[in-house]
Amino acid sequence: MTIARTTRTEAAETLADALERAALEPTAGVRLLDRRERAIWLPWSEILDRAREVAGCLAALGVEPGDRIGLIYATGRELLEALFGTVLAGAVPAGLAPPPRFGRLNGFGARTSAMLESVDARLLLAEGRLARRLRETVSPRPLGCTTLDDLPVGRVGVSAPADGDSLAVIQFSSGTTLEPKPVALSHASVLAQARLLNSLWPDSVEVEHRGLSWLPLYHDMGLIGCLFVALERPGELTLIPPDVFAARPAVWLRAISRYGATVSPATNFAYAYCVEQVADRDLDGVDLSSWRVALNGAEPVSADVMRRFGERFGRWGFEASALTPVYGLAEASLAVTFSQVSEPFVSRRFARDSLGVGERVREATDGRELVSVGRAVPGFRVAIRADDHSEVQDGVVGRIWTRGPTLMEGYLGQRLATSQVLRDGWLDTGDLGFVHREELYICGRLKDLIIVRGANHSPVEIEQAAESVQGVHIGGAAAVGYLSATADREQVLLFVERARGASAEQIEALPEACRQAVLARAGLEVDTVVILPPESIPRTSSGKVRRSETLRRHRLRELG
Amino acid sequence: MTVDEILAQVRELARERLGLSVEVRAESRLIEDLGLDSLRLQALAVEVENHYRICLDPEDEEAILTVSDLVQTIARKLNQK
Repeated sequence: MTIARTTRTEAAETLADALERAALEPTAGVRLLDRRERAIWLPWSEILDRAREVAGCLAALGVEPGDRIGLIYATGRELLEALFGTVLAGAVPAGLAPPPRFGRLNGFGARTSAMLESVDARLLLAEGRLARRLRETVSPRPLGCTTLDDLPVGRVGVSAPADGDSLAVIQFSSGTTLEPKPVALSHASVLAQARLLNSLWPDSVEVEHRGLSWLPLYHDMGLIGCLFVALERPGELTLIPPDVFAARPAVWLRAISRYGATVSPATNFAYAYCVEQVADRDLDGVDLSSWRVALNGAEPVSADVMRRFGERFGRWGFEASALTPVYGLAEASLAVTFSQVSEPFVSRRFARDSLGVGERVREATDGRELVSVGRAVPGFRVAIRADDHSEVQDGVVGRIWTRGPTLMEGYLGQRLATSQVLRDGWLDTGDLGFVHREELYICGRLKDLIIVRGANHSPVEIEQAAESVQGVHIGGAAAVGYLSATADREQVLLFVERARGASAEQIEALPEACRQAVLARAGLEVDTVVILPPESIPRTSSGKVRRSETLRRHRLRELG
Repeated sequence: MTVDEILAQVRELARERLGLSVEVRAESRLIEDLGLDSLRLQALAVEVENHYRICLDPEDEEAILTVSDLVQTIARKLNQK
């Protein structure tokens, strides 16, 4: 195996090349765990064989190179076949989240249709039972919604004519609006990102890296950060369905131990969830000492959560120095900065009033603790800019811009939205931060996105739910997420203006009524509801609520 | 297995596996009364499917709004086995 790796000559140009190359490595492949923790092992060669069949069937159906195909699958064999089959047909997969469990499929159908339309998808491939249900409501033209089993029989061995510059995958990125934006990534970008990540944990005499993940494969950290990383290496990856992790987070830790995984990324929520949910008795015989790289990204990172995770699982051999805070976004293919992989994470406290845009940060012992997300990954640069786009000095808070070899081509078919974030080869991340002692710290998001328990929520969705409650002033809600010093996950704070003329009983019932409405309509628990008099939420000149300003004034007790 | 037995088991799953402390009654609505967010709904679905070795269909799931709906669906699935 070492020979295969050291003699690898040129880099794969497309995902199809990478799959063919990986198939020559007999010990590399994907292990799939099911909900009873039973494993099946699929060498890359088997995935390639099956993907060739699927590609032939897709061609027989009428799929042409460059066509976009939506995919809705749980993590499993069928997903890998559909994904790589699409790639070998020269088409472009766009992974979508499966529907929520229980109730509420209507909204899902409409959302999914809108996403498919936004990328001009010609076909939706979905799991059998789901496809039967979705067919009536979600049916992209002209090829509709179908399953792998229902595809016409085709000639095996169709190969992709794509080159490195052609579109490889579409990743939906949640913005502030209700419609996620389709991030278009080329083969060259996703493979360069996978290579870059693999270079950050090279194999050595002592360790040959093995990946393991429960992250959904319709998300960049799962698809590119785990699956394509294993494909590019080529190496071994164990996959756990995300809902199995949600039900039993101990499965993640047990699998790391059982398969000797060395690299496993997750979100801050997942680390907190394990501390909260995993019982000692779930970890009989578990040894986590193989886990060298425990990436923490995609959400605000809490120092407290990482300390608690390290302390809690140290007894099972977990090395706290494995915890590695990282920063990235779908628009950059994934990683932008990394902290030192084998060093303990770094956190510092900064005076709260020094963390506003344009301020120079000051360290303060009673300040807000922020975690360093490290330095730019190879090939990337990070710049902090003021609102007028001029670069600010180190230590001053501004918008984080980045430049690097794996930025997206743009939002597919959305020239205006693309021109708002991509300028002169630089990407405006929409996040706020500063550079301190050559390391990047994130202190807020311009995008207002709220990320709780691994799910992204638009504040608009939460506000609309609250505004449906009787006694709430129309347009009088502002939802913000923030990571407080004491809580281990992002807290959701909902500011609500009571309507003029609301009765005392109505006002008293407002917090609970708003909570219920948000839970029912947005599927999320609000931590705190703050009831305010009318006209007390700050707004822009056009009347839009200013969410971060609302939070800032609330903290300074200047509201209402 | 009777519907009452299944209800008792679902209560047990909710308490033991999901850590629910509110009272779980047949008429309790999963979201509004039990306060289950999307993550815990996922966990509940996995626990039920694992425990009874059944697969819930999207068609069934759409109609499951209360504990009783869930219990009835489980009973029907077990009968079909």
